[in-house]
Amino acid sequence: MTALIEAHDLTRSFEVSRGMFKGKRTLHAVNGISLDIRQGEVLAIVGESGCGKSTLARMLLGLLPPSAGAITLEGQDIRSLGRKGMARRVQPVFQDPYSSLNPRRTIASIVALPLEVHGIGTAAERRKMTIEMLDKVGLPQRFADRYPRELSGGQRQRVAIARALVMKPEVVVCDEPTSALDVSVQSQILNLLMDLRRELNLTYVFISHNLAVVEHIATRVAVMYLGRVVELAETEALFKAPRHPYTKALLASVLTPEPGLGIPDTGLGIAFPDPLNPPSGCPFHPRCPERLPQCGSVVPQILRDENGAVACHLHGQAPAPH
Amino acid sequence: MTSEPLSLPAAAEPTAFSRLMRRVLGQKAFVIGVGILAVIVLIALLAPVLAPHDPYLQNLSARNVPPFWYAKGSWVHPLGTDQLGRDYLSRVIYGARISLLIGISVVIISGLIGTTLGLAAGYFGGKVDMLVTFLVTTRLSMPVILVALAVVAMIGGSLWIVILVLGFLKWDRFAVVMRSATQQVRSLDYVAAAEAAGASTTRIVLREVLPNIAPHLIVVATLEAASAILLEAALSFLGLGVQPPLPSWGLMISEAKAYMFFSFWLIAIPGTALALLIFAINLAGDGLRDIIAPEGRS
Repeated sequence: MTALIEAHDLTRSFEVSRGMFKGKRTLHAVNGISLDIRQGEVLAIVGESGCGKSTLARMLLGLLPPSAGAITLEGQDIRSLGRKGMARRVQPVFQDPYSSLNPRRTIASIVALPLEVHGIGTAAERRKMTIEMLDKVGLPQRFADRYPRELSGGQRQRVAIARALVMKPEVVVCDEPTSALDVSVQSQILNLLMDLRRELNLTYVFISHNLAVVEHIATRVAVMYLGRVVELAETEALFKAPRHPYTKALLASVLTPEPGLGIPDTGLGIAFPDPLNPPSGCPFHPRCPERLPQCGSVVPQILRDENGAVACHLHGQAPAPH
Repeated sequence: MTSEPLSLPAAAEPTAFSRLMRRVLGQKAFVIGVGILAVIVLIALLAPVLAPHDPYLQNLSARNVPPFWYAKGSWVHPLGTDQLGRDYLSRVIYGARISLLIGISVVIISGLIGTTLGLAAGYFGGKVDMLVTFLVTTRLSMPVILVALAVVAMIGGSLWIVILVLGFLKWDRFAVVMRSATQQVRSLDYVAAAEAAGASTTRIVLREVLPNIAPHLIVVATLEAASAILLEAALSFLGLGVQPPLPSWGLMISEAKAYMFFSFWLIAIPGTALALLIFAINLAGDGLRDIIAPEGRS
């Protein structure tokens, strides 16, 4: 499989104001991520809230310029593609279908917006394409002239998917597309996404914190912690033999359907660290159950091998001097 | 959209409309305000038909004739005449035109300025926001009536100068309200989706953001129109607004103040008309805000 999108040492920081006269602090939401997204795969990005998943998604969509590093699409820097060039190839599906649809537009006009922007077809042709697309995502034609407020959450998410796919993009970045939906609707939307992937030959970047969903649909998984990718592996390998202690803890935290077991102990202890004041060395070391002496002072190098990648002193060769 | 067999009318449309109508009619204040306003607008539009006399025609032999309900009054001049013998009813009717013209023109000018600034500040944020906020603060530090008086005193008063001065002074509330409304909408995912679809910034601002903040714009516009009409009346009363012989209600009150102990109606009639118009606009604006508020909150 060839790499469709490559991120090189991607970094995004935000200046956080702490009030007048106090000066600003820099928050590294994404801190030196390098990864490739391969043609036809479903790359899941998982991690706790605040680990930089959504910032990464916005950069992959071209909505947020990176502070450092670059993203290439088939070898071409996405900054040179421009907003329109990018829009034809990479499209988003957002988390909250209640804020991702303009309440003052009809469903048909929401779905037809990308076509309109790119000047594709006449009004009648656009209408026809829109209706076809709505049909593909399982919405009957009678919804075309309704407004978003008349639709349920699941139906709205179908509209958002139709809008993303109407331009026939290659990559769809789904930022937690099911976490705002009822459990009963989640699987419908996931199945729809998987069906469309097969039908339209799509590549997905699937951001989620639901590991059960990820195991079900992803081909590869990247685990993020405090703005870094700490482990990257094929789904099966990752779920069978996690290498990074954080991945192990995440997998252990999944609730089992068996009653009586209670809430699993992740062994993570203290809460998520303050991203404004990240720990020295390996950012995970304060919570790590397998901490080594050098973890508190040396940032682990990323070890890339045939199984993927992992950034942990347990899996590195001699730690690089820092 | 061409009428293909494809585009069936949405079944929910009439019920949504009737629901809106029920909500609108439930707002008694709004209905009353809009009703009075409609009557005044109609009177202003039909002034040449409704006015019994030429509002500028003087008749010095029939000065200060009282309205019809006084013993000395007559139906020739239903609301009497002023100190120059001009028919007072005709002047009040034509005065409605001036007040409405001022209200609408000032709101158009100040609305354009304020909305542009507010949209830019709310959408782009950062330096643009700082600049606009600075402009608004600067503007707010100058009392409108004082600046208007100074300008009119320097370059002379006329209807259009009053409109321009007020239009260039009263954009602050538009800017403040539009700025915060835009900030709210800007952070919503449908703006990001339009960006990701390749839409230009102009298109996003005009087609995605503006329609969603338009209700706020309408509310501010009504309240600002009322305030502009009052300011014009105040300026004209001080002799630095609309110049005679134009029948501005403020000017009529000013001209009548010398006679208020002998011919009370000269000051009471334009005063009542002015109060009624402001009352109606404010009722309509308040009602409008109540009608759109639940939607704005959701």
